[in-house]
Amino acid sequence: MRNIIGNNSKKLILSVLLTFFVVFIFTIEKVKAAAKHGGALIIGVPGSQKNLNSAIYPKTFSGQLISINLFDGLLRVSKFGDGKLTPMLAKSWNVSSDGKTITLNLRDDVKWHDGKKFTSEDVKFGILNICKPYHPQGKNNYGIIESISTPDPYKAIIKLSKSDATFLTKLDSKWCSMAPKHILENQDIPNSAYNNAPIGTGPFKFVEWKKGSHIIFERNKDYWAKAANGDQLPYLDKLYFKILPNKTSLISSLEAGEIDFIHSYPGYLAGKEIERVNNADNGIKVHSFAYANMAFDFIYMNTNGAHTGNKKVRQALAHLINTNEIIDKVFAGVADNVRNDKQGFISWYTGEVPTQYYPYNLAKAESLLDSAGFKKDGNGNRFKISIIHEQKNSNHPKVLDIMRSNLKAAGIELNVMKMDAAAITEKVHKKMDYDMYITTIATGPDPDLLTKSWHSKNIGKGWNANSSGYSNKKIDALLDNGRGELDPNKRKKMYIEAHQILAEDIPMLPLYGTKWLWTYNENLDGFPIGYTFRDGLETVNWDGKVPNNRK
Amino acid sequence: MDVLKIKNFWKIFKQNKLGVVGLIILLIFVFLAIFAPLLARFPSLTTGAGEAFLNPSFKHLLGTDNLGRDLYSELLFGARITLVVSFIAVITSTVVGVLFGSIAGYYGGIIDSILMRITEIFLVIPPIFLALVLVAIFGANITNMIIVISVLSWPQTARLVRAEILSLKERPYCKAAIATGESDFKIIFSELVPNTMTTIIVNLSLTQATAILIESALSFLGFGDSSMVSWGLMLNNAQEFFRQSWFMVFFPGMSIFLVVLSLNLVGEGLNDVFNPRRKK
Amino acid sequence: MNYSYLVKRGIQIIPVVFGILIISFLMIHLAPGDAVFMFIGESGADPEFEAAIRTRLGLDKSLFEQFILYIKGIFSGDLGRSFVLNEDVSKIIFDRAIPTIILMLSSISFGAIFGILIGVYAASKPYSMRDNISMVIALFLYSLPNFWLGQMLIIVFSVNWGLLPVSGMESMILGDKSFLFDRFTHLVLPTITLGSTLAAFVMRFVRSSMIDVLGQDYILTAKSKGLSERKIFFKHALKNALLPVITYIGLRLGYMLSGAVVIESVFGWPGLGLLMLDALFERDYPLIMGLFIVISLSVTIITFIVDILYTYLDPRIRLK
Repeated sequence: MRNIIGNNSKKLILSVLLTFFVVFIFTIEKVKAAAKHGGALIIGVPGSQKNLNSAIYPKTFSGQLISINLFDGLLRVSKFGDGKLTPMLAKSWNVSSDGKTITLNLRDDVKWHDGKKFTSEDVKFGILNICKPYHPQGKNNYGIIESISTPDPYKAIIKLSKSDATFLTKLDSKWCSMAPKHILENQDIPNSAYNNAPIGTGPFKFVEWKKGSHIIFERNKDYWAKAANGDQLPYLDKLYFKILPNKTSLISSLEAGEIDFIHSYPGYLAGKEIERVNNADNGIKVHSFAYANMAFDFIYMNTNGAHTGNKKVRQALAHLINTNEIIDKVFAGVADNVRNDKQGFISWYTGEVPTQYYPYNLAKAESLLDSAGFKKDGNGNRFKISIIHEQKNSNHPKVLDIMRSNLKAAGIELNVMKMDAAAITEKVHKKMDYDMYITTIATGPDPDLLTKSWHSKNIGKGWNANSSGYSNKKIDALLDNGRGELDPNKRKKMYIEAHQILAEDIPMLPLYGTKWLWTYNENLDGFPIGYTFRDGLETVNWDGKVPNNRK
Repeated sequence: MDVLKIKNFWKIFKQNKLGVVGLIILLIFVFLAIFAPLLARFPSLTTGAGEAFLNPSFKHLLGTDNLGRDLYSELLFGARITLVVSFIAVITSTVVGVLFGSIAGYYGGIIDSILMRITEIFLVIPPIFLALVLVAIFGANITNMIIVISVLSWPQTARLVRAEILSLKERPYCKAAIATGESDFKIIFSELVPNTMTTIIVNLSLTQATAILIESALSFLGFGDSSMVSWGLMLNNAQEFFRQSWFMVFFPGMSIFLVVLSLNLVGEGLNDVFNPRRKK
Repeated sequence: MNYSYLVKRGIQIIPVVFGILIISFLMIHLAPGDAVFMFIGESGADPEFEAAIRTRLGLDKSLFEQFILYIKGIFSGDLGRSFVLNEDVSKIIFDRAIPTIILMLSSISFGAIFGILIGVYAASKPYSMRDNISMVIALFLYSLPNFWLGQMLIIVFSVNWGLLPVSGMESMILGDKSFLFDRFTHLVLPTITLGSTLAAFVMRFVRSSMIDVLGQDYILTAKSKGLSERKIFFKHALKNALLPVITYIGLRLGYMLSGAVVIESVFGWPGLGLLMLDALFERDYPLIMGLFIVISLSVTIITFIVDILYTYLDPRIRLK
């Protein structure tokens, strides 16, 4: 049979089919990508928010998670301890060989939420006029800046008075989010109306804040960032933060489908509750994942105390506190034990496994106590000791309940005292009139941040400073030199040595690293899995499955 | 009081069946509170007595809580704190209330005005607001709780006593006593106040019921003394876990309810005895 | 109208108001600890920053001077500025007052209506079965810890049956629900929880008030005149028995506001109760004092108004 369709026609048909095929695939991808866009997200947040301006005022963890969606920093510290820095508003940078000049090359496609362009003037203004004077750590962080020059709109040159290996990390958004010079230039910044309706460069824009009830953000259509696959970010249209005062309403709301996402939520509610919610028959299913949030709970021990002044007593106490039981019962396993042979507090910074970690050992503790001169009396009691915790922390009372039982086994009676921050500052940090004190410290990515607590120059210098009264010249020297040392290997060695001395003396006992649990509706995708609490929600999306009541 | 009066009292009280029920419940709780150390299986606040969230069993009669504490033992020790704190607070506030009320009622005039204004101040401020501010500022330990609850309770007593005294003052025997020149102090405390005893006693019971509700509300909000077990504190703790373990919420809450109910029933019963109503 | 009574009561309020002011001020400033660090928070701060805050907040003046300044401020409507929320206290309170007002009005209505209905029902046959049961119900209701009741209701109605929302005053996204319906569903459980205690007390009060009134002379007169029982009951007795209920509810206002604090916490209701709890956690002095004063003064004034209303409405006093 003769070919009805000629060769040329065949080619034509083939190429047309091919074109259709390509266009089809391309369209599907686009449709899929577009499908990812859209929808609203309702996030449950505990407690009332104080302000939305992350640059200026100190904030709670959950406050940072909200406001970070409005702002960007110059760069982001990516993983805790590995020192990697990811470009954000600064697309690249150079550090001079003497470590004293830092050149930042800025992106040129960034706009503020009101449409004006982001330039190097904003960087200069932000660092010198806002972060340095107003952030409580501003002077510590930026005191060594001699000058910032702005030779062109997208280049900022920072000159330091001495080299500081930690300086770049201080440009992360936790320390300094970029704020608009053109709005704040002549304002009384702490009292400005700006704080209640901030304007930043971040993935979402501020819409409304009904105090005590909710906060609303909407998508920034001109956001500069794109996803790895080229999608324009952010995906979501709107973010609603619903303020819920207690844990019960958080979980109940998630279960009832009233909210889609909860963060900062460790505790026993984690394991069993998630199971229970997923097994209930109302159809809502949730996923959760935990990540370390670079904060550790420490017990400060007063090195001048009647009992804690004796190193053996401190070591005995360390042997008595059953960290595994605490992590298991209080956090449902969602916390990092930093007191075992696999991982120590030091590991976060240097990767080293600690040599001394005081495993749970009642016999050892008792012999240490005996040799320290605190023997048991006729009734089996040794002495009474007290520990202070802050009113606001809801986990510490449980941790201390367990500690109380732990210490009782060795004949030590533990008196648990609850105080609020103002009273603690007075009694613990100023007067140093206490035995033990438990607190959470967000240690941050750089080991230098603990100079505050262990350097003798910081004795009695305020909240979570060196309130143990610990004074060791060797440590002082190591911490001082470590800050300025630019060679990462040399630096690492210094901190390893410092940590080994500290592990022996334990002026502060690290207990465990806290973790956050993000719990969210299973249809959601794109949560940033990271080790920082400065991740915005720009990559979160409904993956095409936006529920009807979130359109 | 002589035996006949007591027998009489009991005869009338018995007629109010609910009052008797209340009394029995109350006595049960008092018994449990007194003998708590003997009846409890584990000392107070022992974490790890068992695994967490165990169901009721022979070893743990009411199960365990989130830290592995034995609920049954905690409940018993909680009874002690709840009952003792409220009782001391009520006695204190009654004493203060009687003093204020009787002096104001007896002397009248400026003294009455001043004392009543002071009383009114404390009546006007919503109790929990005042309690929260005091406890948050001065700390949440047992002593402060007792003081705070006393401060909240005395105005009612003062008002009641004053009203009684005002009417009793007009009675002939009182007027006679004044005429014969008896000292004010003697008149107030030997003649008048004893006659208000019935009102005071009824009020005691009802005030204690309120005191317990206030104490548990404060503990529930997180302003309680966490080194001791109290039912309100147990409810505060249980908030997070009620779906995993409904008995953590149910038993302390039910206990509070029963004790408060019994106190109210007893108060009603006493009221019936001392102020009988005409029954058709 | 008894004007001299009005004036007398008016004057009596002044020392009470003053007393409230003094008490608030003393309480907070005699507390241990220092307010400044509350503001600085966990990151700590250097001494200069601290001193600047101290000056900005006026904490470096003597107690007496601070008090005088404060009083002056109040009379000009200024309640100070919250250090934590960085806004004028009066504005903060004003913004957050409406949810609490809504909750209170709703609960008072519910409590009053429910209480009156049952109280009247009980009084219609005193000492009978219905009366006893009603009174026992009342007893149960006011012995119940209201936060416990609230949580139980949430479990049943919101979580298990999904009929009502878990918390808050409004849904984030309305979708196809009407605004009113949404607000209504959020109001139901808090109202029932807060109103039930009031209902219990009103029940008892109405019942005894009715029984009292029914035993009065003019009722007997009406009966002897041949008026129907029903008419007597509803037209005469009820009207007279209900008047005191108004005052009674006024008296319970302070307790209801107390209850509102706990209920707002359980239900996440964004009103003054929650605001107070937050302010306390943060040791936000100006806000704590501001709230304290506003609430105490409101109760004083409302009680005063209710008192006046009562003397105006009660024919017995009116005719004096």
